[in-house]
Amino acid sequence: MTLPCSSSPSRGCVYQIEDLAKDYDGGRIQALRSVNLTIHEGDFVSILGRSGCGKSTLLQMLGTLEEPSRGSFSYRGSAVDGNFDSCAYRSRDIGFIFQSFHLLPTFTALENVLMPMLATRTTQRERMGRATELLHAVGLGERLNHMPSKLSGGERQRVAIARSLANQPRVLLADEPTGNLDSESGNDVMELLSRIHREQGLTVLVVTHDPVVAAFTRREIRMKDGMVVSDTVRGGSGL
Amino acid sequence: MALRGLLRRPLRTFFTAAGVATGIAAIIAIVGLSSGMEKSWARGLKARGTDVVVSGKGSGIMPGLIDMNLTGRIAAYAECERATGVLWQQLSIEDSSMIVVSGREWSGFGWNNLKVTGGRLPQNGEEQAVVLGITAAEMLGKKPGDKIQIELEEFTVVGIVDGGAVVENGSITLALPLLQKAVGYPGKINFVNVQLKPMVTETAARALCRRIESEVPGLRATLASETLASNRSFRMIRAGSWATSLLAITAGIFGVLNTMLMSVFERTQELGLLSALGWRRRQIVFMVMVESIALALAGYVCGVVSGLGMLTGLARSPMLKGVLEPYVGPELLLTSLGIALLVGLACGIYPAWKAANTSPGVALRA
Repeated sequence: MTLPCSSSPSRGCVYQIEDLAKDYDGGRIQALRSVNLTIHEGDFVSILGRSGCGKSTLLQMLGTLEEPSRGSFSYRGSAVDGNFDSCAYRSRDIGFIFQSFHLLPTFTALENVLMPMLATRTTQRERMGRATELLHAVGLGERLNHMPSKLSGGERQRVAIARSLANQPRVLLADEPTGNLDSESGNDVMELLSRIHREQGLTVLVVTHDPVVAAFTRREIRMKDGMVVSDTVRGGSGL
Repeated sequence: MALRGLLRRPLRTFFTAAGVATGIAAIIAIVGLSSGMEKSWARGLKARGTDVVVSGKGSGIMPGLIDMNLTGRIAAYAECERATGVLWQQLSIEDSSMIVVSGREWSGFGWNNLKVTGGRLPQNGEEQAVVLGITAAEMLGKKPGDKIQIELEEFTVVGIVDGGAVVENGSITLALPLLQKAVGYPGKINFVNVQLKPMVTETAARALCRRIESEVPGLRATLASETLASNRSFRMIRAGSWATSLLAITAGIFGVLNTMLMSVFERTQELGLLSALGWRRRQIVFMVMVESIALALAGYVCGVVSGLGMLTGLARSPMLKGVLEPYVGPELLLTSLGIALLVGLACGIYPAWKAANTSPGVALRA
């Protein structure tokens, strides 16, 4: 099913979110309550809020890691429902970055970056070339064969960023990417995400509780108690 | 990737594989012994030039006694070239454990295959003498000229012989009437060994067996190669061998299942991550199944090696030396490989299903 984009900006609509809600524990916990949003092509968005405000839940639903309890959303005009190929979407269209990195501990940095590509039809040669190139791009060219345990927190997150870019996604979903890092490493990671957004024109959604991190993005969506309370564009008007 | 999963906890992987290996080793060793028993018996008969074995019906491995006059009746069948009566007994000889003692008609073809390696054969059917197979001589520590006690009778060892088969080499052979007297079964035998005429086909030989069984009540007739396999007691032994082995492999099954479940539970986050990275369910299922099968196959390889080692040790033990030679044929190796693969598959299915059906969001929060 193809859904129209509610606003009609010059840029294409990546996500159209309508009345999206998520309950846990049989409805006793309402993590997300009727969220309506539109994310456009090339947006660099931060979703800001305190712990438990529903920002990560929103990101997980956009990543099809969780199913909504109510409401719906579409990706590039296609309804994300039972007929939507979530695996193909997660493999080809989006890249995930997690707070706790989620690197496979028994695999090297290079092998970790290869992982998403194993779900696609690429040759070993292509995969190796791409993974090596990505690790060089995030400044880890000298750490290809290091195990995650031998890398610093900032380096691990850069491996995770390289991994998220492995299948050349159109959207990056970053859940507290600096949450486990010191401020300097966090700064580096945000600089890297800004560069990726700038150079590759990707749509980037960053969930954070830190206004400093949010300051790297152009659009800032604030959430509270499972609802969007503000949506502003820096240097521009609110959406 | 599956290999990394297994090597993540090498000790657990080792002990799980060891569980499967124990089951496979039990199959190889126990079934290999019963197969060896069957083969040794068949080889012994073949070495004596026997095509068909006629015996009394009985519930034990050693068939019931029959009258030795039946030899003539069997020999009268048109397909028979010649027939000879044999009395087989397993006896404890002096300080040694059970040894096969074979009493053969002096004029029969049962002596023809014995190659004298030391001493001589008895001069006639009345001489109070025995020949020892080479293994029996070694086990008993006897040489030509020594005396040997069989039940209450004393005999002279006149020769050492190579009978061309393990059972033959582990036996004491003497003239039939002497053994009948020693064990108190005058006029009795338990086998009639039959040599068929050269033109008799296998089909005709089977038909002869059926005819003998129907015409002479109380007799069982089988092809030499199938004698033991058709024995009820031996079939029970073989069934017991498989049952024991399969019990052992059952322990291995629980080990693999436990390990695979533990492995999947421990890696819930990782499997969720792979799902989040776009891996399809079938890829996750495949990875877990490969891991489970690899574990079972590692157990199979170790099991075959240790099973063969156990068999070799058993065959050299004083209890079995000269009685049978272990036999592990390709069919046993393939059957146990099939069992190992089944164990791997069966133990992988539930953990794989579990891994593939956990929501990635839930898995990543675990």
